[in-house]
Amino acid sequence: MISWKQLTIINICLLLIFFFLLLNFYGVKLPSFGQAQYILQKGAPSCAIEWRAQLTEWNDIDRCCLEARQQLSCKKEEYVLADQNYNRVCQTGSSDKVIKIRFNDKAYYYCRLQPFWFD
Amino acid sequence: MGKKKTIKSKESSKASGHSIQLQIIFCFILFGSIVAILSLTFFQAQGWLIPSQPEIQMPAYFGEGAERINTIRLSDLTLEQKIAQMIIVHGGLWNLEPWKRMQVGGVHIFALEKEELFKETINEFQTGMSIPFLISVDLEGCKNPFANFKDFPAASMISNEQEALEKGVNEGTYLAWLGISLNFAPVVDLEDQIWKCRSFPGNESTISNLASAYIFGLQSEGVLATAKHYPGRTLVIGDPHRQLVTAAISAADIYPYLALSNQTKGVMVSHIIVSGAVDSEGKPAVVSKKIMDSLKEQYSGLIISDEVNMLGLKNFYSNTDQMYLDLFKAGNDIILNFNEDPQDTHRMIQLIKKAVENGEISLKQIDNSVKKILEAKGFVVE
Repeated sequence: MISWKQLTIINICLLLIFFFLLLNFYGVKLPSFGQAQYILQKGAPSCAIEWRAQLTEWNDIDRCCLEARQQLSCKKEEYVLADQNYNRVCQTGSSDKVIKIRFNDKAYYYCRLQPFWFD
Repeated sequence: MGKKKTIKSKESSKASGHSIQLQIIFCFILFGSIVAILSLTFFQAQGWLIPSQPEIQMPAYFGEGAERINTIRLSDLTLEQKIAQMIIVHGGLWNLEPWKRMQVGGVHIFALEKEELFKETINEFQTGMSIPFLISVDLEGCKNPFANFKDFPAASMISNEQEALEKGVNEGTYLAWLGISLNFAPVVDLEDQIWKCRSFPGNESTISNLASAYIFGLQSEGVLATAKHYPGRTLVIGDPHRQLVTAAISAADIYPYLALSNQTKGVMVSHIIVSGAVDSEGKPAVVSKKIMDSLKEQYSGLIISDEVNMLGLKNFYSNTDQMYLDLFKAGNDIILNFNEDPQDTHRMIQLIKKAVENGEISLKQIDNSVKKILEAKGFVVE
């Protein structure tokens, strides 16, 4: 038979779950795992546009995120230019004529926090 | 003594049994509440908590050749329906139900794997809609949502008006065949330092001529063109340490918009804070009444905001409510909001509805925008 103490612990846990679900239902934004990933990632977010093997850094990360979101897929791919390391790429199609949007992890985690991002 | 002890222990075990019973009841109540809130969250995520707008009655008129003329009376639309018509959202099928319930004006399609998927997605959206969605894409050549299976020449590769016309016709034919009615192209920024492929080459006059030929070709196939991004200088590399982007606009930057004002069905306005030939008075252009009014003096077509979830715009506001209000107050006809949460769009509609009801935004302004949108969709508006 379950004890009074065990029931109390279960009820407190259920109460907490209910509370967080309620906050979520009313759209209260709580610090998420995604935010933690973004904060813990070292360095500054960096993004670049590549077209026909020409890479240009773009400091408008939000717009970069939106352009990446519009692509068909994103994958891990290392690319180093000067002192900047890009480790993600988003693109549509695989020919060398297509636009590629390259990110470092910090920028990628930032993009995932945007309201238009959908994994 | 012994008897007393037994009674006491019986009483205490009775009390603890009672307390356990209460705990169990409480546990069931909490469990039920969790199931209820989970169900509500699920319904909310599916958009089922967003009320459906009423069906719109359309009187059937027939022209001389007995062809049906789609006529719509603005007075038959609720205020919410009118405001919803002014919004273009991302057309992900997971949000099909809420976008249809709200009757938003349009859906924007991102890259998909296959041609058939575009057709199927568009078909899913348009089925059963008395006012069809505007279906938009960003097809500029190098920016190409169809790149997985189809190539188009980049704008930067176009060298004469004949090529620009062919590009317009080819892209228009293809988009119309898929069921796409609005293309966010051409880019008429004079300089493209970032992508190096989105703008036509040349000076303001050449760019305007090439854009004009492209627009002619695209619109002759029934697809609306959008010259962007007013008032220019959006594709130049900005100061990396500043989150609010500013630019000095010259007369040359706005030349293409003046040259194309009688031709292009849409103009997209950027989030850049501008000064010079046009001045946004320290605000992002898209929320600047002064910029909008000066644009409207030259141009009577659709004014479309750039996507609103950008830091350049959001950083300017402490809350999104004020941003939404200012986007409408400034005079945008169509707002691009690709927020994947339909509740946000629903909230935006309710917010603007309240602002119209309390006179903060005039109903006449909303009606004018909706009239333009419905006419762009091929309706005769009464």
